[in-house]
Amino acid sequence: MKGTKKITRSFISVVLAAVMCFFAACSGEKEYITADETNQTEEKAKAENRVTIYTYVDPSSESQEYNYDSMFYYPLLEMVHMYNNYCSLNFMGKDSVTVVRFPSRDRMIQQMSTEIMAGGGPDIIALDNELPINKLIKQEAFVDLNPYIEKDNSERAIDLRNFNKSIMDTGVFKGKRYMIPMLYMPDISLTDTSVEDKYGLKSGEQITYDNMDKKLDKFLKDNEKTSFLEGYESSKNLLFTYIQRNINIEKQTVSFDTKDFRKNIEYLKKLVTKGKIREGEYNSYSDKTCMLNKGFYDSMSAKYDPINYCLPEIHNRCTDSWGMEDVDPDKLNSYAQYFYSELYDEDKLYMENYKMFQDYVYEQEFGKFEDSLNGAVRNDFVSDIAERDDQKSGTITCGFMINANSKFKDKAYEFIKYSLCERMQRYITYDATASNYSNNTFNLPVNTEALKNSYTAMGYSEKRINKITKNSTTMERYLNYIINLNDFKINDGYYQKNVIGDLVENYLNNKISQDSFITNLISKTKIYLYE
Amino acid sequence: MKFEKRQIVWAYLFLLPSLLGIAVFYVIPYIMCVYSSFVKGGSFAGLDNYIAIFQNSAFLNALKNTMIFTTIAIPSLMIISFLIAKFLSSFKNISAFFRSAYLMPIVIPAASLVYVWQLMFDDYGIINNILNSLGIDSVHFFSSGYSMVMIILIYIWKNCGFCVILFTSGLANLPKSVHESAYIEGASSFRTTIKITLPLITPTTFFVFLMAVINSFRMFRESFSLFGTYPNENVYFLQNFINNNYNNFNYSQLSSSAIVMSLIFIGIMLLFFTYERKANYME
Repeated sequence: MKGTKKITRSFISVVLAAVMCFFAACSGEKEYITADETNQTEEKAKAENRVTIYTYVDPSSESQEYNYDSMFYYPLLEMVHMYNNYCSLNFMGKDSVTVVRFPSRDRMIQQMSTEIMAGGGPDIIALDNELPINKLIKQEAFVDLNPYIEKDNSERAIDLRNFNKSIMDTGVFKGKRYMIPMLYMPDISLTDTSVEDKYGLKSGEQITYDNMDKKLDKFLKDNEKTSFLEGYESSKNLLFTYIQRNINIEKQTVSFDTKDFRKNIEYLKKLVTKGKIREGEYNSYSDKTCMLNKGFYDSMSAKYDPINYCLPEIHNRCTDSWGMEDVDPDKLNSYAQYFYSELYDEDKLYMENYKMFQDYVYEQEFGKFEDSLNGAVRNDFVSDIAERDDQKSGTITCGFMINANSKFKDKAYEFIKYSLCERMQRYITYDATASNYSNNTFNLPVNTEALKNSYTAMGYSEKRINKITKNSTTMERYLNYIINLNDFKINDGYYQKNVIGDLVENYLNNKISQDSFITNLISKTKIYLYE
Repeated sequence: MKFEKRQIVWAYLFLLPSLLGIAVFYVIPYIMCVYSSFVKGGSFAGLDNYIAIFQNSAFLNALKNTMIFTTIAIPSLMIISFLIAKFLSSFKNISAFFRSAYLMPIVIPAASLVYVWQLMFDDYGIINNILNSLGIDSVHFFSSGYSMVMIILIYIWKNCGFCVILFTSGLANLPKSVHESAYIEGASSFRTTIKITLPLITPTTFFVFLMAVINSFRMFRESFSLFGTYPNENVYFLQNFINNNYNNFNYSQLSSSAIVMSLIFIGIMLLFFTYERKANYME
């Protein structure tokens, strides 16, 4: 009997020890940035009276790879690094900025939330999709930057006249400027002229909510399992964007219960669900089964690549490091013969198409894009579904706010001011030599001078891109498009994910009726606006 | 005397861990919450936060819904469970199976419960399918006024069994002589219940009420799982308002609404305490 008890006791002890070891092993997950490191950096910055800014990088990005999740992680580090260099060169070491890094977005937001509650938090807050920016603006959690801009008489003072007003006004709420945008992306999707031909779309055609049922009719009736956009999230964004366009945050009103809204939302649902294989599963771009896409997403490298359409990429294609003289003359002749006889009319002037020809030769020679994309290079772009014919919209992707609890508001403002200057703006969006992180985004600088200097440096003169003819290259049309953007918005990721995320998901998966969807949408949105 | 003092010291020493726990996890946070309800943007704001929440239509809606829920659900629960207990007390023995069956709903995890209710009351759920087959239009249980009815039903279903057991034990402890005298005097069953049984079980009723109030707070779990962070306006409760303001970093609004909510419930409890002391007929 005693022996049995002893055995049982030993057995239980062993099992308990094994369980403890198992839990210990589970908790020992290695993190790229540890909590100690984060806290130490913050404490040090506080002790030295330095301005702080929080950022995060996903633990999966341990290899420091640039991906969609860490899109603004490395540019931010570069920006701060550049500003701190400027500070030390100008004997302003005390004004330098410290980046407090977090291993994940959740941790960053959790800490930020606790600190703001205690009357602290980072001095500069970067625009983040998960932050309830609209709510924070409403609570005046950020500093109104207008007085700072007005009283600043220094050489580097922000002159708002040098910026696109509609971009800068995205940060204004009830006359107060709470956010200064830094970067934006044009709301466009890439496609092929062959795909456009197949579905009866003209190149550069504007699809609006009013005309989408006519323009996309052929696409919807197509029996092939072709999806509208490349992935589920991108597709869902169609709905979110349309819903957000029907909300007036300042007036706290919604216009969801209208005939147009009901009609359009149902049509958008059809667009989103076309190409759906199973719930939440869509055809991917690599299968060449989507009509439009936001870029090539490589699941292996986790790279998000709007091929050919980002400034550094265009720059690369125009770079002096490669020239036509490098190509074998015989080969060049055969390329020219094919290019001008097969692809384009022979009677066109050689010089008019020279740039395009150069691109063509470059592609043929290096096969860079075609190989990597399995021959699916998309050679045209269309704007996202818009409200009006003349609407060319963009989305703010990076912006800065100053925390109302900050003790170093002036210092924080200096950093924002410097970040807006031509040199910094061009550096983070265009300068390919800066680092390879910026190679693969649509990001554009808010500083118009920086944008202008970027495309001028590529060899595209203002005169050339201002006048678009039928002979203009895709790049020229693209550059013309981006300098004429006239409508900007901030994506309210918090609203999209936490307030209506499940509702939209249920609606898309036919779990609720349209009536129920709209009733809930109104109710949820009103609560969100009034809270 | 010395012995008594030593006893008191020992008593406090034994109480110390729990007192510390209460202080750290309840008293100090409550004081901090009171403090932050008077602060906005780091500076003293007086009653501004309280004025602001009473001008906020989301808060007023949440307050209204919480009041509706409390005034309908708690009395309904108490009446229904008392009636069931009264009915059951007429039987001499209640089997152990029934005793445990009453407690089943309280131990069912919220997630399973929510899944079953969704399956039944969804737009394309079982109930609507039956209605449609009978030629009746679908009822949007989750997006109309019915959602409040659903939450009240879940609350009653979930807590009824527990309250029945409490009432049953309360009724079992009543002296039979009083009821017999009333019967001999010719009092009807209804009159006996109102005039004798109910006053005599005041302590039990008070305890049931206390539990009902506490469990009404816990209903947020079911409501949250069923309707999400942002439910439709009919089931948007004060807990939703507080929870969402936490997510929105609006601590001044969060604190002031939490204080208002606690004051309301403290008020209700105080009222009931006073009544209970006055009406303890057992003594």
